[in-house]
Amino acid sequence: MENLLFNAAYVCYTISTALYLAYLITKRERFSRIAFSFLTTALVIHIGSLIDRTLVARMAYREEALLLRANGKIDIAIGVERASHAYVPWSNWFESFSFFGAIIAMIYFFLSWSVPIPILGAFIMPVSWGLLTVAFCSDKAIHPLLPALHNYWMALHVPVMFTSYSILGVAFAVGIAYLLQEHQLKSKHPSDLSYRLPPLDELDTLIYRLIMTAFPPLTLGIFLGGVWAYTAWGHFWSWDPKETWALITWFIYVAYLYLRLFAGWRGRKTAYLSLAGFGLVLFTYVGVNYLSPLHGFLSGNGTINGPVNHRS
Amino acid sequence: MALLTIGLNHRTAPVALRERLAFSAHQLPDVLGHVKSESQAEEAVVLSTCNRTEIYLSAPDSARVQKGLSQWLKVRAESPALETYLYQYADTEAVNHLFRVAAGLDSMVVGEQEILAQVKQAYLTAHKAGFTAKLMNVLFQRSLYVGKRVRTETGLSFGSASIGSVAVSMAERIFGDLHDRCVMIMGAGKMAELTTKYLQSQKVRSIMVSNRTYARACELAQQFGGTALHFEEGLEQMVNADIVICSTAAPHPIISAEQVNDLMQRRKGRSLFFIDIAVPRDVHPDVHQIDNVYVYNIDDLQGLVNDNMARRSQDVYRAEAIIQEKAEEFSRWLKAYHAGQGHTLQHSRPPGPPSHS
Repeated sequence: MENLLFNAAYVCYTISTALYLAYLITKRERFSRIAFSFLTTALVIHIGSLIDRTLVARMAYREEALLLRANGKIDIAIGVERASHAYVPWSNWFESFSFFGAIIAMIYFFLSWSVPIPILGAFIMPVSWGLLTVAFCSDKAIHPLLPALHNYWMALHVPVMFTSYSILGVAFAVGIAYLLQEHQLKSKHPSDLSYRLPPLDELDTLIYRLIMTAFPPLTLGIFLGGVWAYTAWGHFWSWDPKETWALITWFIYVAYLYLRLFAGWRGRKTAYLSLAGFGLVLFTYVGVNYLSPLHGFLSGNGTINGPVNHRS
Repeated sequence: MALLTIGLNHRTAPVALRERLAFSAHQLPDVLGHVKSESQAEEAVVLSTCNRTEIYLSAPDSARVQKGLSQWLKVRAESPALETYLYQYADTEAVNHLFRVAAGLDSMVVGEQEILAQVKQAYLTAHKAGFTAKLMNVLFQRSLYVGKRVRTETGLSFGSASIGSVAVSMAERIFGDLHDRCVMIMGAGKMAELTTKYLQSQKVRSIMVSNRTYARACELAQQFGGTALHFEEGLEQMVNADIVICSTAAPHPIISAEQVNDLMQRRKGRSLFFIDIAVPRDVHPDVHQIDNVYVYNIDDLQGLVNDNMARRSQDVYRAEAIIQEKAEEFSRWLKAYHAGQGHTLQHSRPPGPPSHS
């Protein structure tokens, strides 16, 4: 059922993305309107699927715990019971990509009320769709959670991180629109595309505002991660690759904001920074899983125990 | 009962002749009166612009219309050979012609916007003066609808058709809304003045004028409600400008890449748009390479105008197809209307719902 809902949402996202791209090419207003309805539908179904998945997983854990208790395996049963309360639908590879894509789509959904530029859908929705496609192609089964994740921090740290990452993903998409428009105007022979894209300064300001909005949750998310690490492993910061790369990601956005605000950097160079920033986000989020002994939850590489002798 | 069009335009008649048949708005009711009495028409609309004078009539006897009207026009135009310059269309062809005119297909600059407003004005003038009835009312409202529809559904009115308006449209590609922007004029050429007028119509925040001759700067500044600057202040004040229109008579570029690099530092990277319409150019070509600086010279702007014109002409066929379809639709209604006029009007509902036009 939960897979069925996700698949239905995925189909709606796909149609919506395709229609936004069709709108980019044909400039038919109708396409963008239909695309928006599909996006709305996809979001509703997707949220439904997330809730459904959570309920199903929690139920499965409760039943398993009862079975374990009946068999006298009390120790394990307590861990599983904890999981049945703490399960959140962003705890494995499939779920986190699904969640990531959903939040980007949701941000675009809300953004289009305050910035009603449907053409941006043609840039933002493919980013969301790409992440959802990774989810679509991966194993959707519910696996037992690692003990390190049996924690309410999970419900806090991860969504804060994803909110920030998603806003940065939107900034990335707008950055691409900016670079296209900039190229058009520098070429002195702007094509039709230039007339459909928003003005340069508006795009530049939008990127800035998005990064400005994403920065506090990024900082907070990293901080919460530290606190969680402290409660779980006794160390606030262990220079694990994930932590290091998260810090590098954080610094590139610090650099963006500093250069934009105080060094008079605007336009093309800062747009490249926002592209590079999101590249780092993806690397920190996905790539590092294969490097990190602590945070390899998504790849199954991570050790369960955390740094030796530092379990709380 | 026939629907007729008689007229001349920029293709059939020289300006010397057109101007004698060009009627101003306050002359029109009078002219309409003459037209009606000379032609025995029931309804009449006169469309008079600098490129065309056309009379639309609904009359019972077309031969009589022709005779009476061309005689009157001959006298009015003081041209005995006037007939060689006139064109005439009847019924479907007349409808087709009006739709083409309204869509801008018959204009000197294909797809231009102004003609639609002129058609509307011609109709309203005749309507207010009491020279139109059902047929002309439906015909002209329909033509306005078709004119709008052709423009939105095809690229016929794509982009801008003059250097000044193209420059404004580029400024909008960079800055978006221009009402918060500051314009600086360097030099005082005719083109600069024209371009500034276009920009002013977008309600820019302020205008600065810098010129070698301070008196001339003051004169222009006064005309635009801006501030006059001494020439030397110009570069200094460019920190506050967003759009700079250059048209000095300087023999070499007066704005170099180094200067603009410096300037951009002080501007904190805010975008700067040079409209360089001076020949020889005022802004060194290297300036365009600087980030967030855009330099369009007169050739670039002319290139954009040409691009736009090429895009427009690509869509002429699609526009013609829409017009053909709508003209035939109207003619069917017209036939039903004429047929029903004697006894009943029940089949003569106006064609289509131009409700959202």
